[in-house]
Amino acid sequence: MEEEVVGGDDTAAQQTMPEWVAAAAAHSLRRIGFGASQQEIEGALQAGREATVDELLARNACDPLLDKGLPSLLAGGEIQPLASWWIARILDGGAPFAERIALMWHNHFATSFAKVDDARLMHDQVQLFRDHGRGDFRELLRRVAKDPAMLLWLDGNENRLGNPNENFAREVFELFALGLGAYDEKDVQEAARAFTGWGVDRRRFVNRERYHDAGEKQVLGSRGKFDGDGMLDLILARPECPRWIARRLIVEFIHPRPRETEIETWAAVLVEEDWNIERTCRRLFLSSVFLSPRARLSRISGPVELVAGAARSMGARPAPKALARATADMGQNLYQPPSVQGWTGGRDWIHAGTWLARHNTLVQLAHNAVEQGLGWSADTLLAVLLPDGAPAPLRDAVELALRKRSRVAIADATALVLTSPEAQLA
Amino acid sequence: MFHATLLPLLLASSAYALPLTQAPAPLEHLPSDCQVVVDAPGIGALFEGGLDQPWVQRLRAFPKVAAALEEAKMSPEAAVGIASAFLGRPLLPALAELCDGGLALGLRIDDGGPHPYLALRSADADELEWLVEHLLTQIERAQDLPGGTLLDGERSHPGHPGARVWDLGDELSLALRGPVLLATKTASDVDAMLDAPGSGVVNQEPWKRAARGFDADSAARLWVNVEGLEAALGPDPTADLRRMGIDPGVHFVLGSDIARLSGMQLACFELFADSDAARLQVRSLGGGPVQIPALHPGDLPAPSLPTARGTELLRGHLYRNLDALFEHRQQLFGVEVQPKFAEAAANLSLFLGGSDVEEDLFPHLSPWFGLIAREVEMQPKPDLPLPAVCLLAYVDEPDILGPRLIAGFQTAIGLVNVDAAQERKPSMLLTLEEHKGIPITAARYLAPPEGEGVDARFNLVPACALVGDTFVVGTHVALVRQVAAQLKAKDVTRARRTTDRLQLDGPMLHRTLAANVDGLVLNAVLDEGKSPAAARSDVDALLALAQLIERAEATLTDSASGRVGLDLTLELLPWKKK
Repeated sequence: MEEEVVGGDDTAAQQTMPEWVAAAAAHSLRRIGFGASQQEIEGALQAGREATVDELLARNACDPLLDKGLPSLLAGGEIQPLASWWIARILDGGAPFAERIALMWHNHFATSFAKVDDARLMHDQVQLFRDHGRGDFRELLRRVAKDPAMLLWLDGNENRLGNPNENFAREVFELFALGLGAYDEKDVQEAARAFTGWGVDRRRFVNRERYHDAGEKQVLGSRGKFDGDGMLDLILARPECPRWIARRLIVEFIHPRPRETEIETWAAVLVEEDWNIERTCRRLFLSSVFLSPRARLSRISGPVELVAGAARSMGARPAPKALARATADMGQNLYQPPSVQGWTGGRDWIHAGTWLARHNTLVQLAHNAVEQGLGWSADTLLAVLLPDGAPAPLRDAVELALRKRSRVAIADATALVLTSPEAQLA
Repeated sequence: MFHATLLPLLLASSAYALPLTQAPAPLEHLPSDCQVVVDAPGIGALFEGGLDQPWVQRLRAFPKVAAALEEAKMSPEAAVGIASAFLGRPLLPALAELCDGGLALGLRIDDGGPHPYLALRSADADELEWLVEHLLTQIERAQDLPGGTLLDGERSHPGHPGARVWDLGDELSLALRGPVLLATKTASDVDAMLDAPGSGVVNQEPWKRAARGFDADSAARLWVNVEGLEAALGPDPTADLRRMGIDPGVHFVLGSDIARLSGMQLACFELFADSDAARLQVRSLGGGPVQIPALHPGDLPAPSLPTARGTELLRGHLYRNLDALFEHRQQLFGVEVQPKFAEAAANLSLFLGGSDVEEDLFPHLSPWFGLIAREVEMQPKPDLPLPAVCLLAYVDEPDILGPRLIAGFQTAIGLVNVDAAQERKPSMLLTLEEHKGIPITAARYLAPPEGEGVDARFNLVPACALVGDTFVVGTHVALVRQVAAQLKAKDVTRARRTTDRLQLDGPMLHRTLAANVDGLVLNAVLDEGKSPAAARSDVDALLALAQLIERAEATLTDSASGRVGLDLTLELLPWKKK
């Protein structure tokens, strides 16, 4: 396997490839998908790192019964059942990377049902992330720019000749493709003119020529009669774009505070891989930095990945509807990010307003898992839930809790681990 | 500690048929303070036919049961064989003989918890005695107890010479007297059972009142002394029941007769069953006299309704005297709900151009309503297809009231559209059409583009029509067209009863469920956390159950005489042996 050298403070020397042990396998399964049972970790160890990564990337088939019922669920028009359905797909484990990437793009191109108010459109958008989120980013951006949910969210129908609405243009620059500093206010105004006419009619993208400002625009140092597609081409041609996307990938899979050298390196890889997200991620997952100490337990788990990971680790089957409600209480209401900036994550996941919900959910999960017949020894419990190791005081507390040898004791010990500080990290 | 294995084995013991002795019936051994009684006089017949009888075959063919039997890796025949070998008697004939004189269960609840009582009468006292001794010996062997440990613990009862009593630990006491076997929890309880004949629950007035109405053909009866339970447990367990009588929702939706169940002192359930049908008759005693006669149909005939074989899921007629309910609301309901009546009247008057509904609408509406649910052809067809439902209301001044009701319907659509516009949701378009000479007012959403998903709201194409003195309003214009045309052609079926009645068509129920099976499976996965395969198995079982049903019917009985009854009939499709 070719070793990926990653920039940073340690560029001077080739990094040692981390050993493929249980902790490394668990970390990979946790970051690329949504966690795994002990059996799956053992399987990954046997298969080897490269085979495991390839299998995770290739696996893309959830239980077909989940999809068969989807039309009737969408017909109801409610968003909570759809959120439950997404959680069910995550718990199913049939498409770990596809769901992980979909969640990432859902947070990146953050669009909320609260304004879109159409469950079908929200589903279509996230499905777009599943279908195209691992492919060419340029294609993804073009599709998202014409996505009806996105246009409704960012007032595409109000963006018209003579009265441009800058919402979409601003967010394409700032959040979706370039980041702050790569443009100025004039660029936003001119880009808004380019996107005029793009709208939604009865759930379909329409390009209303009569509302389009066909005049000349001066944007990002170029002059021309750009329309929306032309504007996107300009944006994608900017060097800031691959850096911005690389940054997103590093934040998602490596560390919440990427180094500039890392960003440069992986931006180059993204371009080298013809903007293909999956191939870029594959190289990332097989790099030394992915399993480096810096990447391990480097961020606070978001609610969905936390509860799904805990459930999958324990082989539990909580009700997706209950989990969807719980993650909403914990601050991550699927299909309803708080703003166009998405969920900021990090310490924002744990504060006075959310810790109680997080704690109670994990305790409930622990008790439900034991109800479903799971039993643990201290070693097993800690190996599965904290594969990177547990501090001695926690180990001692778990062993003490398990001395009573009752179902309640097992549940309490499990809850003790799940609510520990170490278990909040991914 | 032995009761878990003992009781089923006792029931499995057998007696060769001998003439019945003159012993009290099992029911007579239930103590006077039992609050719940189950009497199954014909239970022995259940075992007579063995494993080949139709109800057993039907049960074995049921998917969940078949799967469980498959998993058990032992056929029922083999299990019966093993049990028979243990007993030294063929099992099923033994059960038939054991329960030949009937079986009764009683329950008394007090501060100390529940006290269960079981009594059964065998056909042969000697054989029963042998069986009990044999089983106690077998259990001693199985538990590695010294011989005679259980048997020698026998005691006699001074008041009942000839009775043999065993007190087996803290949870089981047995008594044997002639062909009667008694089982209960404690020694004092079994003594009470021995003392019961002549003074037990069947000799008490509450039971006697109920027993006067029992049908000799019923397979089993359940009797609940609701007042007795309240005396023992306090008012909390029955609080919801007692509130029914003053709940406007119950009166309007379920009917004033059902609401009167709230006053029940006794509840009686009788089950009539064979392999093709089951009927559950529910009677309430002590509901109190009819307070307001107008709330009950009396002899007022129910309306004739159109029917449609093959597409009709549900039909029925319901008695709801809105005029009487509003007029007597202060008498019927608490003060806290009175403002809601005023609010409802004010809102309804909005739809009728400001008319006073209590003066201008309710007195002119028949208290009988018809209800029909059918599968109809829908364009576009929703992804979640549901049957259409329509309500038939009968007016005594159709020339005056009819147009007002139609205008009220249009006003309602208008108000819905105003709400929709404010929330930027789709609105409905009002249309007027003529179908077989009948003007029909309908409202519909604009169809989605071709190839797009069809939301559940497309089940709703509300419509109304006036045919003679019948105002028809429904959730889908296709059903309103059908019903209106049938009414005009007088294609109706006369009602046979003058009480509330609802009929459900089994094959249609199955079709409706089958059309939504994927949604049902997904709901089970999302709501309960079942695996898709397990959810599918559950839904298949539900479909299999629905497939068994030919017809289900709920009918109110005895409403005018101060007693309220509910007749629930389930007719199964005839069993075809494969």
